[in-house]
Amino acid sequence: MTIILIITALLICLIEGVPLIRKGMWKEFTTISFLLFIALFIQIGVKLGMPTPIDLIEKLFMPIGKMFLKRL
Amino acid sequence: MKEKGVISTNQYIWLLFCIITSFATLHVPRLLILQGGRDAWLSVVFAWFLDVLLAIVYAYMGIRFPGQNMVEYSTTILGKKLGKIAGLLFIIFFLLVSATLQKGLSLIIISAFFPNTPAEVILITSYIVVGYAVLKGIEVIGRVCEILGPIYLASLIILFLLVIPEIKIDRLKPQLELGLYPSLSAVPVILSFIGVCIIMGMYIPICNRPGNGFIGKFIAVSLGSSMIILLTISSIGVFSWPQSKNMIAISLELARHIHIGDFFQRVEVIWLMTASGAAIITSANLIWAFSSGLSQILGLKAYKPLVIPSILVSFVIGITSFSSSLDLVNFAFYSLPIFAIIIETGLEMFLFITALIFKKSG
Repeated sequence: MTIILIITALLICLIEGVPLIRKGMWKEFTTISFLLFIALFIQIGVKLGMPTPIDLIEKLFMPIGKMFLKRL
Repeated sequence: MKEKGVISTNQYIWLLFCIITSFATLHVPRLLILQGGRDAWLSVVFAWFLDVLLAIVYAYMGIRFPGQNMVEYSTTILGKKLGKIAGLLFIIFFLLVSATLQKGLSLIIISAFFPNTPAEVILITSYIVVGYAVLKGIEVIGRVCEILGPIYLASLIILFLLVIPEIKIDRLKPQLELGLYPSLSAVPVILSFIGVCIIMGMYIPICNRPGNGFIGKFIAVSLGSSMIILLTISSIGVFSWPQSKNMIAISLELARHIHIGDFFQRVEVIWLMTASGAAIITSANLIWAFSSGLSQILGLKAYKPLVIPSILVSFVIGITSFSSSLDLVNFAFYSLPIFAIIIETGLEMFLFITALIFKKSG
């Protein structure tokens, strides 16, 4: 899945990025590159044992939720 | 970059209704019954009331800052730096809800219909449709909702009518056996899901009549909440609440229960049509809000180049975050309500009060 995602990200970067570079829309190109980087970072990070954004939200709010709500 | 699309009040209502329908057909009724027990339907009434009050605030902000959505008026009220952070919080919330919703749908479809299919396949096919819809623009999404919304409403009503012979009213009694606490404690759970309709803050500026922001939301939330109440009552009446709270998708189980003789049965395909369609439309709305909001925060000329990368981020969050249905239910029950209420209510109330104190307007 990681390799497929890397290939997909590169394809998206090419398909979306090249027209943006041609039009001189460098801000948009930087933004899409950053979004693709985040996607790959999350995917590779999980393989290396890093928490995902959902894990961080759970760590923050689950103890509060368990105080007030019933046990599943 | 300003969104150039315009939606009618009718489309605005059905957009919001489809969002509520998507949650109603998935895990939400189960979570509601788990917390609220036999009186879970009462939680929806309380949540409806609170959501209407919240809608007043969002509609008022839409009028006080004409032509500005919540991302834009966050900057107007709080200044460039803090305003952009507030805007980012809103759009990140939309992205995470989209990921959770799509993953929830894929897990239910896999457990019910395609046990040998990987979740990634369901997610990829859903996101392809989501991406196509968002790239076509909000006007197209609005028109699709205008057609599909009434179909979803009709199918939920027909589902309820067909299940009526199976309902045992005694399973709903005694009412308020443990007082009001179970119903009240379930309000944050249901409010966090129907409260995703704060996306109305992104729609009001592109509505042809922004003054209809409140009445449109009121109609959509009233219709949506009615459907959730009907689903909850049907589930408790047919299965009883101890069994309902353990079901993954209550509306699916109700649909499976329908039969008229030997010739009218297996109507869960209607449920599948409603659930997957509503979830895809909701995700399309949320991804649109994320892409459009991000382009406004960063001052970009166009939001469409951001759509496919946003979908990839949502897809990756979905596949990496929830390894099973239990993980997703744990997140949706314990963490998402708190996070959602902070963003939906807390952040908007903070903007509202700051706008009043510092006399900010558009």
